[in-house]
Amino acid sequence: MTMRSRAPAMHGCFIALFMLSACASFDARPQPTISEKPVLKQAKDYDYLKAQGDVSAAIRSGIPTATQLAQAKLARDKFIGLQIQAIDYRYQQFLRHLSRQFRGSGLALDILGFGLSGAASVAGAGAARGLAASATAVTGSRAAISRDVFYERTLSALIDEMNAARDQAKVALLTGMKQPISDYPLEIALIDLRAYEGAPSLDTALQKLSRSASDDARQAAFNVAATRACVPAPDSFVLRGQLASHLRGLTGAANLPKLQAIAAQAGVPVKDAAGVALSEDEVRDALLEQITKSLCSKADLQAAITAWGIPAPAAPAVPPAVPPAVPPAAPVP
Amino acid sequence: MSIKAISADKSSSLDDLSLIIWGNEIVWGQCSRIGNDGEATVILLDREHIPIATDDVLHARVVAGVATPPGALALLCSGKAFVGGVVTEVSVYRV
Repeated sequence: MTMRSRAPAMHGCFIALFMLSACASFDARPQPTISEKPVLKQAKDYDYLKAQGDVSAAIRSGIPTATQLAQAKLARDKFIGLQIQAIDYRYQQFLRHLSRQFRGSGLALDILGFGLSGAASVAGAGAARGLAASATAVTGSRAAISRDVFYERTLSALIDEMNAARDQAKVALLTGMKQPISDYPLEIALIDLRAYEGAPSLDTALQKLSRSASDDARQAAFNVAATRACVPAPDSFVLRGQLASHLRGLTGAANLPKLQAIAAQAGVPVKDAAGVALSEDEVRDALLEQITKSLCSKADLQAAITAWGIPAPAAPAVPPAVPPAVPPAAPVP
Repeated sequence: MSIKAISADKSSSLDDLSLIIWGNEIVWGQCSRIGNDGEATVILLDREHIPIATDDVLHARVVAGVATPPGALALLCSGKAFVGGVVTEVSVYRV
């Protein structure tokens, strides 16, 4: 889920957030009802070496029997299960801490300042505390309320990203547990457990969010009303280029009257619907759009060049363009 | 990057798209993405890179799929465009 798609729901929570933001001791996550200490102790007691010992003991020597393999698998699965529980508890602790940090505003302000561009420092509790103690801490103003909404949206989006990364990493473990010990030995399980533990990275989540926002922006560009292009004739390119190049060269406020005069000749409005005069850039773009939309034959272009008072190029035709190096772009769905 | 979006009729052929892209690259800038909005092919042009116009020589070629056309210098972008009314995976090459 992207931040944009979450927006309506967050607006609905605005009043609640306002009320909650006034409560300094509010914790966004419930306290666990199951004590985590026994689980963590069990996981610590049944560590990798202990599990490895049990697997080795089950498969003593020679060709293992089915029973021995089953016992070894049980030891492996017990190890994996306990470690997953411990990692999950630690993750819940991390989320509660993260929520408090956000409400302390330091971490969120840091993210706000970086525009979700993935600042490595945000993961550091020290840096977050430092920011929270700084003069940028949230106050009770109207601006602070909207910031609070932003924090919640950001935090939710970050947690979504981290949860998705954990779910993805967990698949390897759950799939592995269904396999016999020979296909999914303890050593591989340990690697997957470490990947699962490290999956919810705040930095990675920020980077993904940043990419996602960027993708949204690109997709949004496809959704705007695009200028419908006519199909240019193959012998019209130089004239099109000449016309466009001349228009692009008319920069600066001093050239606005020239652009307006051309627009008058072309029948292009120089005021918007509210009667406000278009800027120099807007008039120029409106004229360029005219080329895209309706000037596709050589005859039409020649007529426009004459009517618009575009001077003939002084220099002879320039050599063909040298294409700039362009990295491949990702396909658009 | 400053972007200009133009659209092409959904009935356009690959050759039409090639003409439209090159004909507008020299007006707005280099083609950076191609896709569709469900109604038409949408082409995004990077206004910071404007090639120089040439007559009778197309410097952009749109092909179906990812097949590299002869003389291709670089892949500009690829995506799903309308070709003859059908959404088709296409690639835009600098040639």
